[in-house]
Amino acid sequence: MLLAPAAIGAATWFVTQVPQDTAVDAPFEIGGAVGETVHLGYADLVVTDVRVAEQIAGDGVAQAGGVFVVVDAVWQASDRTIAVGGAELVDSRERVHAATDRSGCATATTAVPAYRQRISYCFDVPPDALDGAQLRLGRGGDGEEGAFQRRDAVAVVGLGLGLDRVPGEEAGADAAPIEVHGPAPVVRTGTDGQEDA
Amino acid sequence: MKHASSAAPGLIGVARNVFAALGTTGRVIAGLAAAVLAATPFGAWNAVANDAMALTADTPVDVGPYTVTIEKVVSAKALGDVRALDPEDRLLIVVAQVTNTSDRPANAQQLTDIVPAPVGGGVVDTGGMPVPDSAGPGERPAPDRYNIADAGELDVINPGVTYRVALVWNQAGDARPAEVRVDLAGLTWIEEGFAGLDDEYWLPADEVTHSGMFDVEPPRSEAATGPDA
Repeated sequence: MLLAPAAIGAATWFVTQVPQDTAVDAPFEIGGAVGETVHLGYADLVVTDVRVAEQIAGDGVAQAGGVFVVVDAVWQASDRTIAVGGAELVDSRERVHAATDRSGCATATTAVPAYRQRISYCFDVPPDALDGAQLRLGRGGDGEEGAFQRRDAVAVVGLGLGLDRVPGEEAGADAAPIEVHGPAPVVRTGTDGQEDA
Repeated sequence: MKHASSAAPGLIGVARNVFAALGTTGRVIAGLAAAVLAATPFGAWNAVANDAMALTADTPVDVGPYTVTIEKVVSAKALGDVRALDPEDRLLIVVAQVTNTSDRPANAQQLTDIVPAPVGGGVVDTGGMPVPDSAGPGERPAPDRYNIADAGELDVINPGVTYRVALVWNQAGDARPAEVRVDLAGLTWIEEGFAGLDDEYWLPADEVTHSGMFDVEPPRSEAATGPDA
């Protein structure tokens, strides 16, 4: 009889001691780099390219308030269709930057099994956010403090950017506006892993 | 048989008796309360804004996650491809610089909560109805918002990024205000909403925190020839 209250008390104490937002609810971060495949269990993600410019051109031309970071990525779902949203760029100062839909950029997509879904995410960020920037992506949305990615796998991909990519600096960013497109037509993957088209 | 001289003192009589029974302090308090009550129909409880801080051109003001700097107010027939809904009407445009000074992305839609329609500018709603000057911040029509650098709409404003924006309302075609009152309304940070269902967001307070008069730049054609030319 005494065990039940003791167990409840112990469980209550444990729950109050554990910081839930970080220890219980936090997503599982899986690191990667540009060109690497990040295996998330529910999908594979590859960041294929990262470009920086002051303008992007898709559905009209958009001028950055800071600089545009355009991240080209490919999603492939594992065994069921997933919605991918809440793309974030996190800089070295822990500031979080959201993707924009300006000029036809995509902020979310749907990935299906056996198809490779190409997408370009666009972030308008201050130049000092380039150094050490990481892309953070997972299924669902970010919500408050990643509310919809709790206890799920999230890719954290280093973008390999530095201040030398700021437009006007010596190495320079892309001089011309970057052409962007929304989610591209899907490309089916054959049984041998090769693309059919 | 003797009858009572009066059966009941009546409401006024009761009030007179109660007032007579009050001490000096009580009479003062009762008088103030009566004065406030009497002023209620004339706006004694309105949220605006005698204690709002002064708002002047080119002065940065912190509102919610933003620093907002109002540059100027312009009346125009068109802004690029943007026209008033009614061809007879004009556009009333507030030009401002906004910077997200927080460490999280902010929804640019919040700018429409922060900068209510200017007062005294002849703003009309999307149905063409005049907006009364007494309308509170949350009752005034929301503007369209454009990034002046590319004439596109803004969806998100990331930390550390500054935009020069145009906030655009429909203005009655016959309105010729020389100046308007521009208000800024505050945002309140909700760390944890009711029952934890909706947390960590900026809620429009619909309360004017800053207010100031701004000259209205007329359309260029009228600036050259005068509005009545």
